[in-house]
Amino acid sequence: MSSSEKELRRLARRLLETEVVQLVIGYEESEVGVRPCFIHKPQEAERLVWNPECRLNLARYLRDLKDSRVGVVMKGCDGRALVELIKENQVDRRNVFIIAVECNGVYKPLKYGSLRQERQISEYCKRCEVRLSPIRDYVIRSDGFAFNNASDNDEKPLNWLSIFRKCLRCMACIRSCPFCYCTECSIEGFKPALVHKLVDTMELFTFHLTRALHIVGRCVECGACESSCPVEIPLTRLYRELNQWFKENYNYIPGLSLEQAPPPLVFKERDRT
Amino acid sequence: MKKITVLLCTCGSTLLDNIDFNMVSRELSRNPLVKRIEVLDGICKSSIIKNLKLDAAERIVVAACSNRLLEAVFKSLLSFSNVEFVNIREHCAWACREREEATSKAIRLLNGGINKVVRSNPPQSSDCLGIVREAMVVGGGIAGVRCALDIANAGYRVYIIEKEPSIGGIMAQLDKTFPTLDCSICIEGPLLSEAGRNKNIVIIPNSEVVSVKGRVGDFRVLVKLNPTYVDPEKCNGCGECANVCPVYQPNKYDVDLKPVKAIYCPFAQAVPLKYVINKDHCIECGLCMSVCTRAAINLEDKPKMLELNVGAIVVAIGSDLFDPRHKPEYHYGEYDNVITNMEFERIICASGPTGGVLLRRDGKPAKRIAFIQCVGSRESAPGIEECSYYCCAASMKEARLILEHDRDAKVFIFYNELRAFGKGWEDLLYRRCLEDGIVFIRSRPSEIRRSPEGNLIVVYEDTLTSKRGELEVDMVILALGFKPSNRLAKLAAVLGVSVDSQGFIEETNAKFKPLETKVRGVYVAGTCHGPKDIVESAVEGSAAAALVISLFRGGNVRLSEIARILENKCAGCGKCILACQYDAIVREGDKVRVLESICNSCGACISSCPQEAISLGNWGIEQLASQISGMLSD
Amino acid sequence: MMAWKPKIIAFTCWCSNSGVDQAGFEGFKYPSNLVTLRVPCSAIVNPSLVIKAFEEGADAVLITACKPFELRRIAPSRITAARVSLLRRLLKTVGIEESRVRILWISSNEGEVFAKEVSEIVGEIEKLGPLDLRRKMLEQL
Repeated sequence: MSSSEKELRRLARRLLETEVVQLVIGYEESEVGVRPCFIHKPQEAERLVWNPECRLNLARYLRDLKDSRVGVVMKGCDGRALVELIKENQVDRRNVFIIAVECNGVYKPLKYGSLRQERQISEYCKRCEVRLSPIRDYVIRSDGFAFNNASDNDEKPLNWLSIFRKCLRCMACIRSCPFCYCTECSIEGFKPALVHKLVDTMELFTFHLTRALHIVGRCVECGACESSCPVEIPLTRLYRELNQWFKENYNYIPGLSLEQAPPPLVFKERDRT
Repeated sequence: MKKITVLLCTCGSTLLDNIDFNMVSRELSRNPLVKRIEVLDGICKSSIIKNLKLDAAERIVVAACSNRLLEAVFKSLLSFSNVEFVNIREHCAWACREREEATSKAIRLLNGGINKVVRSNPPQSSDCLGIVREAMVVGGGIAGVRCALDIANAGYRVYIIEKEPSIGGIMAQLDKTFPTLDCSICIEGPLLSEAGRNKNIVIIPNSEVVSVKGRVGDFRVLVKLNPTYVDPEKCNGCGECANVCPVYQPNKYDVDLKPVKAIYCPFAQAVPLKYVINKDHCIECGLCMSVCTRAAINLEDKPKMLELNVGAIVVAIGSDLFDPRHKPEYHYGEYDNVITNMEFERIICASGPTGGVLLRRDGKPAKRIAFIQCVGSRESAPGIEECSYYCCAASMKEARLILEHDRDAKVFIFYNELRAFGKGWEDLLYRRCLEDGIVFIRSRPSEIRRSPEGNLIVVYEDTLTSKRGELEVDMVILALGFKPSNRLAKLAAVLGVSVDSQGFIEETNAKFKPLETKVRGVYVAGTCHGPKDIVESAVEGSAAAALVISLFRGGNVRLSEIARILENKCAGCGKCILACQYDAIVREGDKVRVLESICNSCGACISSCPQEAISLGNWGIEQLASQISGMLSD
Repeated sequence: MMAWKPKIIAFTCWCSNSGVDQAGFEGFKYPSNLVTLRVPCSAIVNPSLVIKAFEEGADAVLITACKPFELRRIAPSRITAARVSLLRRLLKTVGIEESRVRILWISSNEGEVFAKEVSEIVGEIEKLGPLDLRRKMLEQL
């Protein structure tokens, strides 16, 4: 057990005992791998783990917890997502106790039949520059696994159109995304304006591009969608491209500060032509 | 299955050469959604539509000319059926080279229209909201009074919100009006008392607008009534209280040149003719209370709040005049004999501080008088960039008044450009000024100096002869430009209307909607809209009244064209607030709210909402996506 | 067999729709494979609708709008301009030529400009060839 994991459990237990929070959200080990867990009692704090399998974005769960005060384990990207959610009026900062754990990147999900020893750091983590949540109440430094830097030669162009075809429309990307909190998703297909429920290959194009348009300027490239995708569509790469556009034109990187308001999408002189 | 009627118009058979209507009908009849196809010869003839016996609540696709022309023709149908216009004339028949091309384009356009109308939500009668047929005029100057009278005479109730104890505004303070030189209060007085007598007009003096909620047709305005310490219901204006009051204070009406008592009525023609107490000067001796036989005085009076529900608001609060202290070279406030044109108006007035004799502060008569034009106008700082419109004529009028009082006086006018553009201004003002020997000098004087004898020396350069000069005079009158008042900025913020670069209220369109503001149902009149004279202010007052009356007569406000938040869907992310260019969406708790009177129906919000939580007529993603697929189907 | 003609959808805002009317009035001809879809304002065009149009088989999408750089007052078309720029970046990323999404600044009196610009755009799209999204989607990895 790593020292950061020990510290995390100790902190969670103390927070619950002193009733600073009513609930701690973190990760636990299970038969299907590491998964989010909800700790209500101090003695359950021992369930918490911290390792490079802690992929999912826990900011996703904070939206519905309006009245109680919650402690939550946050990686750098989780914290950035939370910053955006606070700015979008979805989470009250005062209700969240942020346990910022220094992140050294998470592993790619285990493929069927492959061995644990072959684990690799996820592509999106190699490009991550925010290893610690920008907003935090407690910091846990971590060690134990190495951090890989991005190599630029892995950026070969992708044939996105044929990649989209692999999509099963299982909605795992939408379910795992912290920003997909719409009451009625416009591309899920229950109200077929853009996308129907029956799988039509062509509609996968609309599905993915619309989703990209909906989260541009908000996406913090946490990779939750990509790591939960059963057919391994590298969605983070697509969203990163659009965020790049946002950064170039509006000088805005999502999730870095609570003060910087998201800019309105408006005309720039270069759009004249 | 939804049934659709398609009406094809051949535009008096002129389109037959361009489009193969048989082919179009054949193609459309294959569509199972289409119930009935009619090829008509000129759909704009009302008899044709009547003969069709169209069902109410039917879905209709009209393929004819531009929607701008058709909307008027189908106005009666639009309120209860779904009608979709397809332009097969300008956009198709007249734009295509070949007949086949135009025919296939017409089919594609029509398929789009059919697909859209299938998905359209039927208009509901509840989409119309009623109108409160009462108006509010903020400001009781000449523009406001004229406006209120015109609305009241059309039979609607009007509230005049006036910050002073009496309506009348600047015009009530003037001695004479140009170009005819007739008595100002003699013209305005009867108008004021007519407003006071009118049963439809409620004058609320000593009041100000605090907040405005609601939308066109249903504004809820909170008005603060400042305490006057005299019950207006009981006061009959006898003036006994002022007779016994021991305290004098400067009268604002006389530009502080003449004293009144602490309990006072600003002027004899005031409407309403009620006394008020200025608590800044009152010593609360209670003498007034002892003589008031009607027990109207209450020194414990407190501010009161009043909520009014009106359908339209006219802003007519006027403007301030430029403060000449911002131009130190003219030494206003420092040299006694430099006065403003407003002060001059009171001095020359027979009811003014000197009984109409032009005297200096040292008691000597003023014989040589100079006017300086454009003080605070036509220069970017510290005044405004615009011409103040009234001052050339006003100074010429005042120059003539001086000569009427004293034939021996000598008058000089320092002007930049003499603008005598109004009706009768050239003839009745400028020419007569020249005949009277008034000297016009084209110059903006650089400085006023004081001679040892107390006279003033105007230092100037004549820009026609390029010669410098110095002119010794007894008195200098500064022709002040208009300046938007601080109250105007405050009121604009309360109402949500925008102001222009100078700080005056901004109109929707300077050419064809000159008195409408950003907020529907809020109109503007008078000098708060920009510098102007009495005539123009009265014209704007009447024009704004016409707009209010046409709003009241025009029936209900259709809300189908306004963005509406579907509250059960809205997650409150605020993307629409960022997108709205009119600031018509505000956050309210967890959700957002559309300010209906500001919404311009552009739809920027509905396309920025990640879900479909905002609706705007039949322009939703569902209808448009359906139309697109119709247009692209083979 | 008929020669291939691109399918183009033009979203026309209220003002520029009058401009298109004007083109018809004055008899300026432009290629018939462009169909106009009238919207109250260009800002109402959801970028997803442009995507949908491509999915449904459009080869190019055009949005005509008021000139935000000339209007003194509030112009929602400022948003449209930004959205088109974003859409172009998105299309480029997924491997579709960005010139298939266009914004055209048309005032309500510019019928001739509209006809001329549209003819040029149609020519360009013809050069690009069909979008053929279906084939591209079904291509083997």
